[in-house]
Amino acid sequence: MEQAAEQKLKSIVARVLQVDAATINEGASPATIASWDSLTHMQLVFALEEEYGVTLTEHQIADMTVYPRIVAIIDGMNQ
Amino acid sequence: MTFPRLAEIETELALPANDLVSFPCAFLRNVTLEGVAPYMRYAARRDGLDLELRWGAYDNILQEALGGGSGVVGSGERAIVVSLWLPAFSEQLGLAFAQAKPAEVEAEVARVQEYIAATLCALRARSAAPILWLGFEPPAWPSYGILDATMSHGHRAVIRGLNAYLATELASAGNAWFIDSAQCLERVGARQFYDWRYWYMAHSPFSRAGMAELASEIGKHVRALAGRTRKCLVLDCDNTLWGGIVGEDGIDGIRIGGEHPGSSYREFQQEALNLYSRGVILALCSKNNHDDVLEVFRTRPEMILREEHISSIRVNWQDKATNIREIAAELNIGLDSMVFADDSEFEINLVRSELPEVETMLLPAAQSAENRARLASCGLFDAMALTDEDRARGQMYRAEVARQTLRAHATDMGEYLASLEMRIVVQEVGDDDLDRVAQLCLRTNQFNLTTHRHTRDELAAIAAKPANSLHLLKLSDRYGDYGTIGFCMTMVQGAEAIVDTFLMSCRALGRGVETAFLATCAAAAHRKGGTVLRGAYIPTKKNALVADFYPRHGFQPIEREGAGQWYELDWNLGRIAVPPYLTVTVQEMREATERV
Repeated sequence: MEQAAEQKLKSIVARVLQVDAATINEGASPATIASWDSLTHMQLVFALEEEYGVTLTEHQIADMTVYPRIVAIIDGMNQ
Repeated sequence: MTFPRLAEIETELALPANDLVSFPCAFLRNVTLEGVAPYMRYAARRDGLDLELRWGAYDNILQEALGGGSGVVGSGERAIVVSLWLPAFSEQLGLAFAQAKPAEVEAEVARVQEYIAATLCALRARSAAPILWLGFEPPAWPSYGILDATMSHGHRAVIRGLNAYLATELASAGNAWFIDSAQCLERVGARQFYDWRYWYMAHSPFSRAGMAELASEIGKHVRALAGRTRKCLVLDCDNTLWGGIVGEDGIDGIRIGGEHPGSSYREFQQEALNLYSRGVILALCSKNNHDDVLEVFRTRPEMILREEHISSIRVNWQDKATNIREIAAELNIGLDSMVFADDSEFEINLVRSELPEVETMLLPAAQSAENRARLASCGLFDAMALTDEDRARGQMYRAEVARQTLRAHATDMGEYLASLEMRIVVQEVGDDDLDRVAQLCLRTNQFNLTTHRHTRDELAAIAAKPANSLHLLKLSDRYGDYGTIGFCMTMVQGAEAIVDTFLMSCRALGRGVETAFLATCAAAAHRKGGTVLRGAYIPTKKNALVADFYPRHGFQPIEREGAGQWYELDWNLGRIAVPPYLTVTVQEMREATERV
C-alpha cells in the first residue's frame, strides 16, 4: 500500500478507536489499544466499508486482529 | 433524513457549535445499538440540540428502569428511548416460532407483555421524561413461510398483536410514544435494514442504513419533543410548484398535472396541501411578476394549491433572503420555524448562508419525480399532537395578513383597534384543553415570560389544586377567529399570587390583548386571596420582547428567590386596566366556581 493510502487508512482506524494516529503501528491490536473492543471493532468495519465502498466477509472481519492485517485486507480488496 | 458518510458526520460533530441546547437522552436496550449514536447526534444538531446519549447497560432494560444498571434513568434526561429487540428477548417469538405450540406462544406473549408493563411502571416511578419506545419489527421471513399470511395466529399476526399491546400501554402511561420501527424497516427494506454479520459478531442486528433510518425516526420525535417543529413552508414557484417558467413558457405553457413532469408537480402540491391541513403555514417566494403567479393560481384548474392556502406572498425580483425575512415579519414567526424549498441550488445556498436558521430543501427539477417523497419524508413539520386549531391555522394567518393591510391604511391606531371589534374570552382550562396548553408551553418562545415547558401530566397535576388557576385566552374580531392565543397560570399561596406562566402567541400582539388577559387573570387570583401579584421574567435568547412586560403594567422590581428578575404588583396600590375597545368574557368551569 502506498504511503498516502496508508496514512488515510491509519487515520480512519485512529478516528474510530479515538486514539492518536501514532499509536497505530505494526503491533496495534485489541491487546495494545484499550478502546479496541468488540463494539469499536464493528464500528471499524462500518467505517472501512463506507470509506472504501466494500463489503467485508465474516472471515475478513474476524481476521482483523492486528493493524497490518487490516492493511493487507483493504489492500487486497482494492487491487 | 439522508445522512452524509460517517467520516463527515464525525468531523461535523467534532466542530464546536454555539447555542446548542443540551438534550440528555437515556437509551435502554437489550442489543448493541451504539452505532446509532453518530446519526442521532447529527440529526439533533441540525435542530440546535446537543444530544447526549446515556446508554443503559447492555440487556438491562428493566434493571435500568428500576434504578440499577448504569443508573441512567432519573438523572435529568429529557427523553428515554427503549429498544427491546424481540428476537434477542424471546427466541420463541423471534426465531423458533414454528416450533412453539400455541399455548407456549401464548405464555411467551404474556411474558413479553409483563416485561413491558413492569418496565413502564418502573420508568414512570423514576422519571417523568417522555418515553420513546421502538415497536417490534414484523418478521420479513416469518417462520411459517407463505402460510403465515393466512394464519390467524401466525408469526406476523402475533407480532402485530404485541405492537398493539405496546402502543396501548404507552398511551396509558402518558407522555410515552410508540415509534413504529416497522415503518423504518419498510422504507429501507429488510434486505438492507439488517446486517446479520453484525448480529452474530457484535449483537447488533441493524445495518448502517437501518441504524440511520431508526435514528432519523427517533430524531423526528426528539425534534417535536424539544419544540423544534417547523411551522412554515416557503415555496418557490417555477420548477418547484410546476414545471417550466411562467415568465417564459406562459400561463398555459407551464406543466401541472397531466403527463410527466406535470403529474409529479401536481402531487408535490398535494403533499404541501397535506402539510397545510396539519397546520403548516404556506408562503410563496418567487422571482417572477407578481401578477403572472397569481394568474396561475387563479386560472389553472390543475393547481391543487389555491390562493386561499397561501398566507404570505413575496413574488418580486428581490433576493430571497430579504423576502424570507419579510415573510417571517409579516407572519410574526421566527426564522428558525421556517423551511425554504426551491429547485435552484443558488437560491438554496444563498438562503443557507444568509439565514442559517432557515432549514432548506433542495428540490432538483431534474428529479421532479422524487420531490413529493422528499417533502413527505422530511419530518420537519412533525408534532406530537394535532389539534383543531392546527387544522385551522392557515386560515388564521391569512386573516392576519388582511388585518395588517388594513392597519397600513388606518391613520389613527385607537380608531383602527376599535374598528376591529375585538372580543376576548378568558376561559378556565378543562381536561380537554390540556393537550393544547402543553403544546403552547412547548412551542411559545417569544412572548413567554418564564418559558416553563410544562407537560400535559404536570399541568393536570397543577390544575387539580384549587389554589392554582389556569386560564386560556381566546380572541376573535370582525375578520375571524384567532383561536386560543394565550395561557396564564397563577398559584396562590397566602397573600402571594405567583404568575408561573404567562405566554401569548405573537400573532395577537400590539392590540392590548395581553393587558386585558393579565388584568383578568390577576382578578381571578385575587378572588382566591392573592393580593400581591408576583411574576418573573426569565430571559432566553428569544423572549427579549417581553423584558419590560411587567414594568409596563405598573409592576415594581423586587428581590425574590427563583430564576429571573422578579416583579410585583400590590392589588391595593394599583390595578391593571382593560383597554376600552376590548370586550372581555370570563368562562369559569362550574366545578371550579363551587370549589372556590
